[in-house]
Amino acid sequence: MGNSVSRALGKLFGSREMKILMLGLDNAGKTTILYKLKLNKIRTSAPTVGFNVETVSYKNVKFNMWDVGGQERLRPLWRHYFPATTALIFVIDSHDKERLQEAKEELYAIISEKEMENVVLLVWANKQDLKGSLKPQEVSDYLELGQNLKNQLWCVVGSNALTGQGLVEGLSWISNNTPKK
Amino acid sequence: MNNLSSQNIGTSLDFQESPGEFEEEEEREEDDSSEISSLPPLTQVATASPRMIVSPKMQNIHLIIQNEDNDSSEVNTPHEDWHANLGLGIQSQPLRNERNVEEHYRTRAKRQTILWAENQAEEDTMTQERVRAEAELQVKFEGARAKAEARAEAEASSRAGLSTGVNGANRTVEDTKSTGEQDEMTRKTAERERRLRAEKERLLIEEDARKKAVQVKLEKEKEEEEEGKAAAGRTTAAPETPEDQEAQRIAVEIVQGIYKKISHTEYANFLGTKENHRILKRFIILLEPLPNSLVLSLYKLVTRIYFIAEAQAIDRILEELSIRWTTTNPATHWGSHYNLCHIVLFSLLILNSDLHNAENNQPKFSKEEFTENTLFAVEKESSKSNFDLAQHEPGIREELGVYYEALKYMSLPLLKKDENKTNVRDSRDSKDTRIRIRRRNSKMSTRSQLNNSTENSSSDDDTSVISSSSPSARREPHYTSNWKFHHNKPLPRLYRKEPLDEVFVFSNGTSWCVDSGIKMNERDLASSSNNKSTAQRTTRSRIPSSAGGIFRWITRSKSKSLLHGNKSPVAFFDGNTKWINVRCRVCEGRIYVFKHYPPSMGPQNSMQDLDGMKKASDVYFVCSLYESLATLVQDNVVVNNNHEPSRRGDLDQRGNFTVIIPASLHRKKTLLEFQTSNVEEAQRFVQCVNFWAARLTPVPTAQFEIVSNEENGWSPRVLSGDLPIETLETLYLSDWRPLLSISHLYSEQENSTEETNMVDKIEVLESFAEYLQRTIDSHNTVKPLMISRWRRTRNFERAMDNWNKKYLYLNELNERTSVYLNALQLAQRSVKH
Repeated sequence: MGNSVSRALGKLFGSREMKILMLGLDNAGKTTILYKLKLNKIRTSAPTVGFNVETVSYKNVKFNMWDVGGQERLRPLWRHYFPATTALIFVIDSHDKERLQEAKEELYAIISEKEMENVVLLVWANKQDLKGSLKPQEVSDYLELGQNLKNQLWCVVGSNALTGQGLVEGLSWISNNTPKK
Repeated sequence: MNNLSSQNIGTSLDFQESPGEFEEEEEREEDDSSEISSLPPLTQVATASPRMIVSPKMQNIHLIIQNEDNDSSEVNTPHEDWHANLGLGIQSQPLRNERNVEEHYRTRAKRQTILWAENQAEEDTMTQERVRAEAELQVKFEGARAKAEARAEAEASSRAGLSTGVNGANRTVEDTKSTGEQDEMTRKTAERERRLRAEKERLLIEEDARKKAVQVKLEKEKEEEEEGKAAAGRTTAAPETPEDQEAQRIAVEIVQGIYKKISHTEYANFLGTKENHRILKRFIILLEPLPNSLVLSLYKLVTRIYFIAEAQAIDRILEELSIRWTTTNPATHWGSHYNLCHIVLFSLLILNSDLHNAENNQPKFSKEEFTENTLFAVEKESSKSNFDLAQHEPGIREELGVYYEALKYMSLPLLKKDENKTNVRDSRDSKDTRIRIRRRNSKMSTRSQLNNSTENSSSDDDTSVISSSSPSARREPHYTSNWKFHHNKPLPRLYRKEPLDEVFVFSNGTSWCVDSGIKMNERDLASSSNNKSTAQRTTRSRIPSSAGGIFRWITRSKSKSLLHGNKSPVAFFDGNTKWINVRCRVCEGRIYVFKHYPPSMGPQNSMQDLDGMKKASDVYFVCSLYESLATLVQDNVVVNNNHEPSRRGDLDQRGNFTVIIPASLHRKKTLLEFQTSNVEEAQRFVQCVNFWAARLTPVPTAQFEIVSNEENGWSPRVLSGDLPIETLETLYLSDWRPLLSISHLYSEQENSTEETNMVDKIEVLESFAEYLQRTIDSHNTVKPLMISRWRRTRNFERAMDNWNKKYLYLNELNERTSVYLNALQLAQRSVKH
């Protein structure tokens, strides 16, 4: 024991490419999270007009993250990405209790798409640093994931995008729970 | 011009398309007129006129072609759809009244001169040989729709429908319509590629012109308002409230790129917030007239604003754009269904990211996928909005196909700051730097916006951005310190500074600082430096290559690596261990080890300059103490005094301690073994290392708060015994693993922060230690239950394996937590005394 982490790292990730969609209401902290994860990279490729697309690499595993959002009518557009998606990350502002219902609706609108049946769901209960924010357990209770999701494996992780707390935990949870090739 | 990627795309001849698919309307090339070639293209400066009305029926196509070589005039491959659907810019010249036409030409002539001058520098270097030509083509929309005909027919009909607009005022456009019908494929692709580039350049140039035009437009507007004509040409010209005026002012500043309250990279996010809808509306109106091609409208948008934003912001901006687009282009098959155009615009932007974002290493969209995907979304929406999709589907399909081609070969350009500031010309280098920096800034958190912290895009190094998200300390990876130290880079502060630090930070022998001549296991020193990036030599660099003395030294020490990789402190037991004299300083969150000549034992001057020590030392390394753990060997091992007859008098008194530098992504856990002249000194080192490690290391609470339906073998429903054994047999058990934390990701390369102050940290550690205790207890209590539940199933091994792994992990964490807690408490007590 002791270097379990380094051993875990070696074992955790085969050579896989994972496509991860990241969703959430505006101001949930998606951009901050992307920014934080981005730090892992030394070289920054030339920016491209439009969406934030980030690749987070652990060894040879690439997490491809798209910042996805928008109104209902735009949702079908992301459908194309669903079949190839290994995991869906949904970011919730655990401090903004007024919009939790909205977030919940948004989450179910996406996850109930047929293409999302076998996707692994990670919920980041973000902004844990703010006083009075909901704990992961509370968020999970509110979202009623246990009652509503029968097919998907899900997980709620408290996160603080500013310090990075919870982010890698979440990603490694995804990695732990997706099939290896 | 500024866009290198477009250049690359433009010059690549590697096109695989069938020639007919991407051909455009005929165009005229000017290859023999030097006068024309030196003139900037007739950009859409006509847009300067706020009174311009786009006629629904007379949609004119304004196409500019630019060529690099002179012999392309014979290329002439008409294609109506490209023209009609891409609609390379639209003007409604016939509807302009005399005054406007006159004024238009006047201002244009003036502007051309400026433009020309501005662009000349770049033109000269980059596109000296280019011939600019311009053709103004007028196509009736209906005529353009007739695609099904044979190409020859199409050519004829389109030509019939075309009339060449000649800009008599400025130039004569020679109709060089070629009659060559069967051009070879290569010619066509070359031609197309040129045209794409020409279009791109036109847009860029137009952009410049636009910036100026806005100013003119504004002035004009004012005049007109005075004349009481303000409402005439504008759909939104309601009575202006002060708020509206303010919104208008901001919108104009954003279009010009001079709005100062936020970084220009945040403009799009700014416009995309709900609160700024008023400004957004005005901003979009300022973009008018919008080309009747959606993709070109998108081009127009992104050439006026730095367009990397959050999805929601993009959503709102594109929605507004589509509303205005359908208003000003009412005669398309989309009619007034802005919502459908919104989908198409959004889809195009996704496509752009998909095709051109280097981050996206997934298989790219094919044309069919793009078309189908967009149509699917359109279909869903159209059923709600009474749109007869079936009737328009062929047209839409075709339109989408053309858009796809356009985007495939020409990514949407990212607006650079320079394009906003007409007078600034930077060297290529500084531009590149700025792009990089801006990119970082664009990643800035929404929270920093909330804090009203204005981002400064002139930040000149990497850390400035980081520091804006982390006001106080920053953590650096273990061996980054080494690299920085070696290269004489300033070492950043790793900890959050507190009042006590001022007092004790260099006070030797306290928890804050220990500096002493001690001994170190040679193997450890070698392996610590034995890293490509960390193999260090003296900075005096007598030998320029890194394969100097240190290298030999390392190789030599490798030969005795019998025990290498063994993680228990063995040097202490090993009679053959070669202890070498080092000077070791633990200070400010780092451990510095200098192989020092001549050896000097005992406490050293802790105020001594590190640079001096570095110079005096042959081999050294520096390492951050993040997540490190120091242990006093004598705590665990009681040595029988008589076990080994002392060879030296001090043998019994000597102290030993180990420092474990944790594993990180590309580095295994490292164990450093030290020997001090007495146990007390070793204790001081241990305390100091643990003190700093405790301060630098965040408490890993996140993974204990995780809620999941993952089954590791100890969920309540399993333990309750309600599940029949068959279910247990088939239940999928996930492997339990500790989740990685951000440190494992960043410890090699990047910074992170620990912002808790010492007192709070003690509290956090205390409660975490309690929590761990409880967790370990409850983990222990589930063990018998688990055994009874899983015993008869094939999942037994797996479940118990999970249990063991978690148990070991909890124990390790518990140990570290209590060590850190003790170290901090000890330091606190020592200060009180």
